[in-house]
Amino acid sequence: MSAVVSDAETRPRAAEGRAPDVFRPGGWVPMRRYSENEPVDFAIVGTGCGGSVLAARLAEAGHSVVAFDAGAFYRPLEDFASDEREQEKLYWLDERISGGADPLEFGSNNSGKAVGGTTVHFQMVALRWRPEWFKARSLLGYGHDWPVDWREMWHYYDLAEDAMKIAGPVRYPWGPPRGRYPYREHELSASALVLARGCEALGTAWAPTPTASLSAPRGLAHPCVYRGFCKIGCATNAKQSMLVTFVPRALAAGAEIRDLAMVGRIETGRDGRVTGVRYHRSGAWRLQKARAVIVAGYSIETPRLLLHSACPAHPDGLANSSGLVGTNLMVHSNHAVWGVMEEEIRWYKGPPSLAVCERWNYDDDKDFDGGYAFMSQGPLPTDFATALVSNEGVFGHRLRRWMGHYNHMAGLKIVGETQARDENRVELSEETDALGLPVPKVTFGYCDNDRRLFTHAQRFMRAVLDAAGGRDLYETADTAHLMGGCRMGVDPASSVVNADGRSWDIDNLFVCDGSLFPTGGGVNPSLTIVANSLRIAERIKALARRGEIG
Amino acid sequence: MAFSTRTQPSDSHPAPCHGSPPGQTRTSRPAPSRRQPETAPATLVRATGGGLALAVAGGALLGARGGRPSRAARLAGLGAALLAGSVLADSAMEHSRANFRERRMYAAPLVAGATVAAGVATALSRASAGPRRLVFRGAALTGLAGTVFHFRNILSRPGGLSFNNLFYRAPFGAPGALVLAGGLGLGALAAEEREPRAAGRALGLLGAGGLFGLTAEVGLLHFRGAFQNPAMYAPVTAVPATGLALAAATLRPSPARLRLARGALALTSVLGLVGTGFHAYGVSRGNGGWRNWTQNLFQGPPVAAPPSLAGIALGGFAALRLLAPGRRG
Repeated sequence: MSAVVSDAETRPRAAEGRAPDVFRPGGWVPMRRYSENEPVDFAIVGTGCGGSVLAARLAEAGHSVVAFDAGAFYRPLEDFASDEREQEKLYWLDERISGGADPLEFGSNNSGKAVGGTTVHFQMVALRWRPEWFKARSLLGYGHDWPVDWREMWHYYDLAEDAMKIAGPVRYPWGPPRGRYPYREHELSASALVLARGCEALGTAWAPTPTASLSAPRGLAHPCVYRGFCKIGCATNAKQSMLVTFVPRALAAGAEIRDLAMVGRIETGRDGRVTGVRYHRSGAWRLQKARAVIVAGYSIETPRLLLHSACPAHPDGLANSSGLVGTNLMVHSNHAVWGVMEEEIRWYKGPPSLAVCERWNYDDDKDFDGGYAFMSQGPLPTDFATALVSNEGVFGHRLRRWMGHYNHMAGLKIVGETQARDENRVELSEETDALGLPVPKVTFGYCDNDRRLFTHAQRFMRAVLDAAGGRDLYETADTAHLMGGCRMGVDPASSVVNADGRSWDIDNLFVCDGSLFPTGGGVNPSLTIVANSLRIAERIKALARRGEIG
Repeated sequence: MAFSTRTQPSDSHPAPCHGSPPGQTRTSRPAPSRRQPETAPATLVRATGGGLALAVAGGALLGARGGRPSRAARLAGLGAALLAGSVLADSAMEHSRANFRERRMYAAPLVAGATVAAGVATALSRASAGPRRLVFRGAALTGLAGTVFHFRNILSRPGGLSFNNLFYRAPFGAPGALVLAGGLGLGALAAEEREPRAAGRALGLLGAGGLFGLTAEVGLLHFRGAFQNPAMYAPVTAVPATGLALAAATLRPSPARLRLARGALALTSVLGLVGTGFHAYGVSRGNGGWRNWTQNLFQGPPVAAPPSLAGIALGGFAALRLLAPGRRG
């Protein structure tokens, strides 16, 4: 087992006026420094799809910005090993209490801890939402409406796709017409061809998946070499994570990034407005003053921070007059069907999900609300072996025999929309972590509609895999992604923030990440979070121009 | 409601399994297919270079005797050799990458090698036209058959005639270069044997057709590369313009049109050379750059492709010579 010798997790790298240059081994880029005692325009908590996008856009507009991340500032070219265990360093594995009828597991599938956030190990699937989902309650009769028109989101999808140079198909079979993807689709892998073959046999449309991995050079980043370690951190920079897109942009525009900096509390003044953030870095608690705070910690850490920042003016936590902070937590059900193919597949090669079928996102002739997309799969060997051991209990010779099929396996997995429900939520527990912060308590359970959805999906995927020539089919259940927890909306009583991500209660407190989602949609959320963040950046810039913040 | 504390990472697909586990119903695994080329990249490059050198030397030897051909025949013969050389290098690398999975995949580099020799010989001497004609006809036929095979390869995958298959399966236009090489060779022989204007018209139209075909192929592949470098627009604008100029001069060879076509062809030849440099730069932009040439030479833009532009341009020059009033080849 290889391990990379790196000080990324022990010593802040973004310090003393410089930050790692992710494109050059050993290189540095200059970084602007801001005083802790002089309030900056924006303190941003988190540097994923929400935080890094806002840091870049607000700094580019001339604002003073400091963005904090609890994780390390990695150099992908040097710090990322082709080793699944080593790369667990990218997951948020801090203690969380998980319960409910269907307790969630945290880490590889839903939580990242690094500058660049979860995108450093996301699967790069970059799908747009079905337009009707933004008005799911009004048009489809379930969930909650977004306070945003789909056409506006469509505009920001264009910008997000260009910023990440999404490699997508020339023609996409679902949804309204879209412009050309900035880069062309990747060649289909053998595992993607299994999906394609199965779908064609059943007369169902399929498409090459729009993917956030380069299919042509971009600046100092090389095109994808299909080595297939995408999900544990791309070591060649082909993957367009926030770490190699918006974070460098933010730095170039004059934002300061503080890595290994865990924000524990948002400070408030006597008037109840926020005044800065208290964060832990290099063994000490410190205070950064700010005229406005943007929380972008994703669906567990954002509610946790808001709840933990309760003060006399806001005894139930910040932005929580509705009592909704932490509620309506959603995941995607991640049910799958697997099978053995006669031909060699080698599914670990290339981005794992290069073919997609969105039929059941757009076809409403079904027995459940919401939708699902399903994609081809390519788990790495340890991941696959671990799943075999934990699911089937096989070991020793039997495990070895199972693993003998590894290069002939194919699988289909859904990203299935679950319903937003008040009882699925994040709260603070009595326990505290090493920094003395309350450990979050997460409650999750599926509802009947969710179960109808994944039952439908497994039946359909079984038919597809069977039609593609798969044998010895078997099924697994899992979850991926997090959404909700700080819903945006049009009414202070039924949402945490407004369409600008601005708290209804505190005018200089914003939330911008996946926790804003009122409904989950049946596609991977990252592209939508980036698009929504680009939209919110414009709204915040407009507010600032009018002098309405701080 | 029971709560449990977790500090372990999740797996990508834990939880319950239903159905029969593969390990229980299958005891032996199918034999792995052999997808990796057996030839080491360095050996392949040496073999390709050696083959090319051998073909040129053979052509020179064959052309050592016999009368000196006309300038038009020399140009067209060289054009045929250059095009065939490009096909030899490109097909040797690409078919080797596919591990010469089918025996007929050897035909492209072998026939291209013979065409190089015949082209060089034709450029040097007028002797033994018969065997050379046979080689050039063989090249054209091989190219046509190759086009059929490449289209079958494209259509055999899910998606059929889709962009994904046009981008990444056997390139539909590549065998056309062998058809063109054979055509230019036959044109070179015709320049010696037939009425110059008729030979010039045939060569001119063939060259123009070749340029349009090449535009389609380059256009598709540069589109696949998202025109990420503005220089990628150069061939897709200059080449069809040259094709138009050549066609116009062929159909009505006025002095002005001939001049324009000559200028355009000169530009296209330069583009062929500069393009090779750009493609070499493109290889350097793959992961690991030229240090990782054993992968990037295959993954990056084909270094051997742009010289074919210069090959077609030479054929065009030959046509213009034959078409110019008062010229005798």
